[in-house]
This record gives sequence, structure tokens and C-alpha cells, in this order.
Amino acid sequence: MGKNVLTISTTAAATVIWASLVSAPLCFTQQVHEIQADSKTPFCEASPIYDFSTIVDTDIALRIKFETLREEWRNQRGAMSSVTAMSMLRPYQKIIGIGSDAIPLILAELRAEGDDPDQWFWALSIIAEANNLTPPEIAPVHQGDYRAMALAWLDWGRIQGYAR
Amino acid sequence: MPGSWPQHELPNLSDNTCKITSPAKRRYNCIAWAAGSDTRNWWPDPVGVGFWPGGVPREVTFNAFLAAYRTLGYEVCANASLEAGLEKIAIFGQLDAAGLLEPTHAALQLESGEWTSKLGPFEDVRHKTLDAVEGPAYGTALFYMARRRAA
Repeated sequence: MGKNVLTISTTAAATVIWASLVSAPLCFTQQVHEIQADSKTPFCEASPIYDFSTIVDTDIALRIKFETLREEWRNQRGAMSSVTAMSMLRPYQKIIGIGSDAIPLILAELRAEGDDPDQWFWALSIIAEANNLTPPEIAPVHQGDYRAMALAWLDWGRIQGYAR
Repeated sequence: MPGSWPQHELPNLSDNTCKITSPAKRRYNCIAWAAGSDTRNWWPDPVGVGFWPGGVPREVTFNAFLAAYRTLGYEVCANASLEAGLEKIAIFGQLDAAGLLEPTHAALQLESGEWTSKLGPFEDVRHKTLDAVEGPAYGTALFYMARRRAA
């Protein structure tokens, strides 16, 4: 049992280190290093809060996938102006294919982009409809106004419980 | 490379052929910019992401694009030459994956005879000639429209 747990700890180390670089507090990484340095320490006993399988499956792995697809999409989009064409690009379609799990990531992205949101609205609309969720009402006066549309979707996300 | 756009997509743009006139923004696209808007993206997508003038078909065809600019007073004209009192736009296009000709870009002529283009999510630029923005990204200028320039 202890051996298995240590194996999980070792294989997850790269992901955890990556996570620490991106978002986790510094102490998180330090504690992981301490656990790894002492190979006799049973991982679960050392700290039950470090549930790597949960972190890898639901947060980190999905975030890595999303961010990779986002960068691929932006690279492939280049100087394109066509909303239709950029939404049809394979990486964007793969983000849509993630389904409702992509909604919190997209909303976080919209929030992070602040004053200059990207074109996430096609994806959000399609995912919402596919999950029987009613998209926010975008007044005609705000159509094409990405800032206003981002605010509408962020409000929608809070109401739906997606936005943190 | 003078701006943040991928150079291979717009190989004719250089320090000699264009001047950057704005920071990169996703807030508006070239179709909006040529229509005089820097607060919206214009596009006739079926989902309703882009703004499109009321009464004009939401379809990515030259007929729809010409109709959209007609709502602003533009009419099709013969060429891109500078004419006193006229404000012109050029609509670019190229063949899509299915072999259909589709609109890709629009540029607006300035009183000086130079042109201004918004380059997708990147900067907008002032360029001396239309061929400066021709290339893999937008194809070539195919239609020209003109309206009386506001005094």
C-alpha cells in the first residue's frame, strides 16, 4: 500500500511542480518536495489533503488541455477576421467538445482578459445549448460588443453556478 | 516585422509599406473598422456573435457584405483610385476550403489616398496600397464601394 502511494507521488510530481508554477502557493511545492525527499513517509499519512488524482483529473489536466487548445487556436487563427472561420478551427471545436466542463475555464479566461475579451461566445453558446442551458439574452445593441457580451456571460455564469 | 501579426500571413507588410496606428485589440475587426466602428466586431455568423446590420442576410457572401455596407451609404464602384469627395472601401476575398469565394477583409481609404486596415485581433495599420495586405490571410481586393465623404 505504502509503495503504491509513493509511486503515485513520484509520477504526479511533475504535474504538481507545474501546478505550483502556474497557480499553487509556494508552500505547496515545498511540502511536496519534503514528502519526496523522505521516501519512507507514506504519502496519505503525510498529508491527506494532497489528493493528486483529484487535482490531476479535474483541475490540472483539464486546464492544461484547455490552455494548450487555446494557444493552438490563437496560432491557427492568426490575422483572421471571420468569426465563423475562427470558430470552425479544430482547436476551438475541441474546446467545445470538452462540454460543460469547459464553461468555468472559458469564463475564467473571459474574466482574465478583462477589457479585451476574446471570441469565446460561439463556444459558450453551443455548449450551453447542448446542455439545455438558456444562453444570456444579448440585446441587439450589444451584439458584436465583446466587452458587453463578456459581462453578460459572466453574470450568466454566476447565476448558473459556473463562475467562481 | 513591424507588428504582432504573423508575418507569413501578411508578407507584404513591412516598415516601408505600413504604419501601425493602434495597439492590438480584439474588440473590433476589419469589417467594423471599415464601417467606422472600433467598439464591435461585425460578422454575419449564424450564432449571433458578431454585429450585422438589420435586414441584411447573416451569411458569409459578397452579396451580404455589399448589402451591409449599403446600409452605410456605400455603393459599388469601379476601382480603388482616389477620387475627390469620395470615401471608398475595398472588400477582400479568397477561395475557402470548399472552393467558394468568400469575404475575408475590408479596408477603408483615407483622404490622403492611403488605406487603413484592422488586422484580425492585431493592430490596425495605415498602408499605402491595397496590395500591402494581400496575401495568404485575406486574398486580394475584389470589390470596391464608395460614398460621398462627410464634410
